[in-house]
Amino acid sequence: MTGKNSIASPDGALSFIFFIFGSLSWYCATFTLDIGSLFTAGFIEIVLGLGTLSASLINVIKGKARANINLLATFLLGFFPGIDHVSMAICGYYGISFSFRIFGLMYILGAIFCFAVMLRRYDRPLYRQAGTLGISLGLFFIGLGECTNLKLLNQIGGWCMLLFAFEMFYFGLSILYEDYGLALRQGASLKERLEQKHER
Amino acid sequence: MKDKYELTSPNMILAFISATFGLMNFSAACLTLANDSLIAIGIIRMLLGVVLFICAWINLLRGNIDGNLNLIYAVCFGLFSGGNMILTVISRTLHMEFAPVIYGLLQIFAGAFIGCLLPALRNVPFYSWLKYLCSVLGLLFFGFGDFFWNSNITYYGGWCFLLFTLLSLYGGISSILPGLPQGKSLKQILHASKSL
Repeated sequence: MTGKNSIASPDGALSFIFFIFGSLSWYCATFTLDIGSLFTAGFIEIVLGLGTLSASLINVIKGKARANINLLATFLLGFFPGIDHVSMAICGYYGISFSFRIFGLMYILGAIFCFAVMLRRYDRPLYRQAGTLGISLGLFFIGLGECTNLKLLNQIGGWCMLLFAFEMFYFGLSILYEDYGLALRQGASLKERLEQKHER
Repeated sequence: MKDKYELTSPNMILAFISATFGLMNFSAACLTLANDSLIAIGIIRMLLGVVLFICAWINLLRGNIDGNLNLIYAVCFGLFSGGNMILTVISRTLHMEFAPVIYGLLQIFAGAFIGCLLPALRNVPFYSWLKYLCSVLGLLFFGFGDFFWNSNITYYGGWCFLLFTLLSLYGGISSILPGLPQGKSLKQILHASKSL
């Protein structure tokens, strides 16, 4: 379990934090929150963002390609929504008007990147691809909701983020189970399913 | 001549921080605390959470996969709870509207995650497994207590955290005195009960 020269993978803990990010995004986008709760959510997102940033750096040191996606998710799910929610709460408390359109545009930009990652993951288990589709759609609808001030779009985005949260829940458990010597079922990838279909 | 350096195991300080977190959870749930005590606990939690985070980092750099669990605990007991306690006091002082529902939900999710992980931890000593179980029950009780705004549910969680503190204490003392008995693991106990 302990190797002197090898760095352990932080992916299990990272997935757990991304699961928390997904749940927070779902809750904030779907329900109407009071100022204190918005501030709490934003505060937790920024603090956890610092945590995922440091854990992603371990993946950078380990030379994993996933580190870039971890860093992207840190900004899209940690720092951007954190600052968004904290500014919403502060502006709500002091009665200052503030346009969240800039955050919306950043979410839409992030959604395009996540969609590209989803296309790249065609050889990964299908649930992983579905989760990545969830985050790209979630960010897209939340971004659109922020730009247009339509709560319905935010709510659709919120439910997509819950799909991503569940994917991260199962993925995190799978990694940690594997680390401790057990394996959870992963299922076939889209590529394998298509190949099987062609063979038939 | 070059000296060879090796990262030291932070297990003793990890056990101390875990025991402190457990004790603070117990006192917040089972004793009546004033605003000043709550904000002190909140700040201490945040700071200890940062230290726990660094210890988790060290464990990961040493190649120890337990660093993942340490990181999850740093998030649940340090950053969530510390932030929540500080913001509770600030909202009370500023007369700001504040519902701990969101924090309760996060604790329930964290409890569910660690709870699902318990079968994978079957190889650790049984007292250590029991410590994880206590933390899961404590998180779930605290989560449901905050979600339903019911301090009676939180009260039961406080006692789970007291047990968690005592077991963490034993784990910490074991890393100072390696001769202390560790007992069987859950896997060995289950295996022995099957063979009977």
